[in-house]
Amino acid sequence: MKSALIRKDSLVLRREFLLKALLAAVIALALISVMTGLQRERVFLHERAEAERIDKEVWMGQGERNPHSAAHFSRYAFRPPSPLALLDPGTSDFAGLAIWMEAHYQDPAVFRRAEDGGELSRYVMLSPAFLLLTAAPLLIFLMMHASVAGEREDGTLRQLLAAGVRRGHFFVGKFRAGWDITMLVYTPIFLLMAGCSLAASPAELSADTVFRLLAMYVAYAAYLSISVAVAIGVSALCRTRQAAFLALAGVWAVMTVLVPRFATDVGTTLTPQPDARQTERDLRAAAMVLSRDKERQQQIKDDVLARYGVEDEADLPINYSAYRLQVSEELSIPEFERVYGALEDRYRAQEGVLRWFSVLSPTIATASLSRGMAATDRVHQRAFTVSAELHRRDMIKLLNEDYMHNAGDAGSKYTADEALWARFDDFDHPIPGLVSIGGRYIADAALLLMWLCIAMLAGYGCVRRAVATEAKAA
Amino acid sequence: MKRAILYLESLNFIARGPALIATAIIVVTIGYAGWSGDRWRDAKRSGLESFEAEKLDALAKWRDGLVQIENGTRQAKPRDANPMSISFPAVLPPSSLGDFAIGHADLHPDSAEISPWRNPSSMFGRYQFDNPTTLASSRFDVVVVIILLLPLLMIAVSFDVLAGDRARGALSMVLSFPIRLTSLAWSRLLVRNGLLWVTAVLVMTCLLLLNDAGGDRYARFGLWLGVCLAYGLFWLTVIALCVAYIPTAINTAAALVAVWMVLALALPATVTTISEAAFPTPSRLAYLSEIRRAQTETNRELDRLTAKYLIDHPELTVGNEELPSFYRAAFISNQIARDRTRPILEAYEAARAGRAQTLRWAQYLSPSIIAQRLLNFTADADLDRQHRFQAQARDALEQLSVAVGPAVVSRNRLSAAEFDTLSLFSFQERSLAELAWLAAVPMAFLLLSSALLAVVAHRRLGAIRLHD
Repeated sequence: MKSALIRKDSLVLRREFLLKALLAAVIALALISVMTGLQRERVFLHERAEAERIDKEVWMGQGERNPHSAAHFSRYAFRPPSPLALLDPGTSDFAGLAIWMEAHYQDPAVFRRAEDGGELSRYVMLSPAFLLLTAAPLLIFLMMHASVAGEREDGTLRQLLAAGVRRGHFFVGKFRAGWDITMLVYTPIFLLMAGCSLAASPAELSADTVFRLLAMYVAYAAYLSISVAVAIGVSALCRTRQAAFLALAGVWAVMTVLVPRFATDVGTTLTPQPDARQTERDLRAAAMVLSRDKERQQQIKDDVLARYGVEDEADLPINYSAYRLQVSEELSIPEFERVYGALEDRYRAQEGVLRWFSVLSPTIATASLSRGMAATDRVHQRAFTVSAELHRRDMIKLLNEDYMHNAGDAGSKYTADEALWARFDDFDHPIPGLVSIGGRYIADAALLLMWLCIAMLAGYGCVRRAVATEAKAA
Repeated sequence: MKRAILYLESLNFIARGPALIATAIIVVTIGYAGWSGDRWRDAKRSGLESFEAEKLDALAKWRDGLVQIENGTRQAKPRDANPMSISFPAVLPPSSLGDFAIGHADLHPDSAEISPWRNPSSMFGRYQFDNPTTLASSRFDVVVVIILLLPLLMIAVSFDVLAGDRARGALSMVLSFPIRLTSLAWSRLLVRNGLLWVTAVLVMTCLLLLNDAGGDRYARFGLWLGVCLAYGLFWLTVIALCVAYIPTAINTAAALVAVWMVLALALPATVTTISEAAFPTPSRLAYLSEIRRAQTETNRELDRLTAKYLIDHPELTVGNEELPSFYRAAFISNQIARDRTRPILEAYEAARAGRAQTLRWAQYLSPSIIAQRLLNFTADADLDRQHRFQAQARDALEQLSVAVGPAVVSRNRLSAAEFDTLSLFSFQERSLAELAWLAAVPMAFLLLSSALLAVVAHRRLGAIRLHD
């Protein structure tokens, strides 16, 4: 009986003309998003490689120079491209893609691609993830709105009950019919989009990428399953197709469009975005922590003179200016960590509000997981900025030490050449493996799982109630 | 009779749950969006005011120092009152209607430092500290409610204006009274949607008064309301058309939701994606690379470049030789960076112009695009305003460089009189007349297409009456 129910419902769903038309529109949009995304990624990868090449060329070709002057000029760290960015650009366009690793200062990542976006880019952006998060649930709701309400309206639910259909089988039949068709459409579209994303990436396919893809597939499958269960549940709550349709249209608008935007707004209203000018002032103060503290400067000088047993800095075996520069760098580190730590706390507070709103909409948790798996979220951006900062510290230390030990009598007129510049490794930051940062996504995964369980239970509960009501009426 | 039906319909509709829910949703969402927008605008204004005050204070101190040196009341060190230290603030003030729309205003820089130390890349400072996660989701402003939510609510309350009676078999009875089907349908549509729009206009008017920030707020609000109502009218006629052509409520609702999805989401997304792919902006990384190359070149060839500058300005006499060379190195490097990156900035402008041109035509594909653009224009939350600010700030930097360049390279000071000829930055806003001109054709298109749809719907409704 259960398989007969699944077959019958599948057949009915496949016959819907409106559904087929909308499905064709969504597939067309998916193809457009993939094609334009492919072009965009290709251009970006070329530009990034070119910028890296020029940065190295400029660094190596800077000629003879004082190492501290070179530290001021320094190099740029470029964010690594994610092989799955085409699938879900996430927040990558809204985060800086290059960091200047200059002396004295921990710079933020700059050059956000979103600033090059068009007039409507703040309103809506087409990407495979956008289609899966927004259009796919609408299709499911359109497809499933009559699943129970239609049976009630036509009186066929009573006939089914009279034929001895059990409530559990009825729910499973409805769910499986919707789920089978959803997966039948979703799986090839996802594979197509994932294939294009991987093809656009110059990186070799790694186990981590495959694992990420798999996790993303599962997350979206869960999200679509939730949509199927919600559709059945809401349909069961309504007596007519019309009421079910309207209710589901409302659920869709709230779940996918309004709540995510509203949550973001509440998050940034409760914890406002940082004042950029104040943050810049704080960073400047952090960079000048030693130069503004005359007492400490004197103490450092006294210490180093005592350590080397001399009375005048001219008698030191090292260049004192370079030594002080390095001490200044080291004293600034905790200050920078404090400023960026406060920013991180602020971001987390904002994202915490988003997570609370996940209780109202599974779209938020799914979007967060999707971005994370695509390595285009803030967690990966943070890993990049931390890695660039560590590289900056090493680089500046090496330059200061060269100045400190080799300046000799030349003092501030000392210059180094290409031999020193060549000693620096290029910045290399591989995307962190999911194993190392997977813990950050447990909360979102748990929320999605909770949504799935509740949607299934609620769906079943609603169907049970509808069946009971019909049985009583009969 | 028509008046009686209208009265009855109003009572009947208002008493129903969905109407109250829809009205409550409008009050809450527009009210929240306006409150949140006001907080955002106040925070932005306060940050900009303190930035401007800080910079102007420093500038006044710098001038005092210069005057003291000129008067001989202060012993001048080489670095004192150096023209390189002149720094004017440039700010993009929030619009008088900025609480209604945030648009692009949270993504782009709103302040700059006009100083010879800066180049077109560095003059906007470090401003990219916002959380990318929240930035990517965009804000929930009044525009979102008008463009996305209101049409959905209109559909929800109107899709069954005829089909409901038809399904209950009551339509023939209603039409046995001396009233035509067209009058009945239009009356119901006007009552149901009128309630929503009256509520929306009232809430927006409250926001207008409560969040008053002066300026041309009321005039802008007039235009804002005009756009909102034209957009609402378009959706009303779309609903009328579907109601007229589709007999069952479920199919009407499905068709309307599909139209909403296409017009409000799919078309804007597709148009954006295609226009960005057709007119790609030059790489920001290429821009960065050119600036880096300019800096290296200056470092290597400072003497040659200084000599060249002095040859180009034979009237200059070299001043204080004790002044460190990095002052003029930084200045010349910034000049070279500006010249080098000019073609890139021009390419940016060309790409933006191409996109804008595409959108000017493509907007006619979807009323949501028209309304979204016009509302952002009206509230000064559009992308063009951000770019105009950046361009004006770059021009101001160039003017300052021309004014102080000779003094910097020749290691001299400006005189206080010369300094006083320099003008502070003031952002040139688009005038209301320009705004009205920009809005005229798209608004006319919205109204004309609404009229056309209304005529078609009306005729079809008339035809239904004949066959009912």
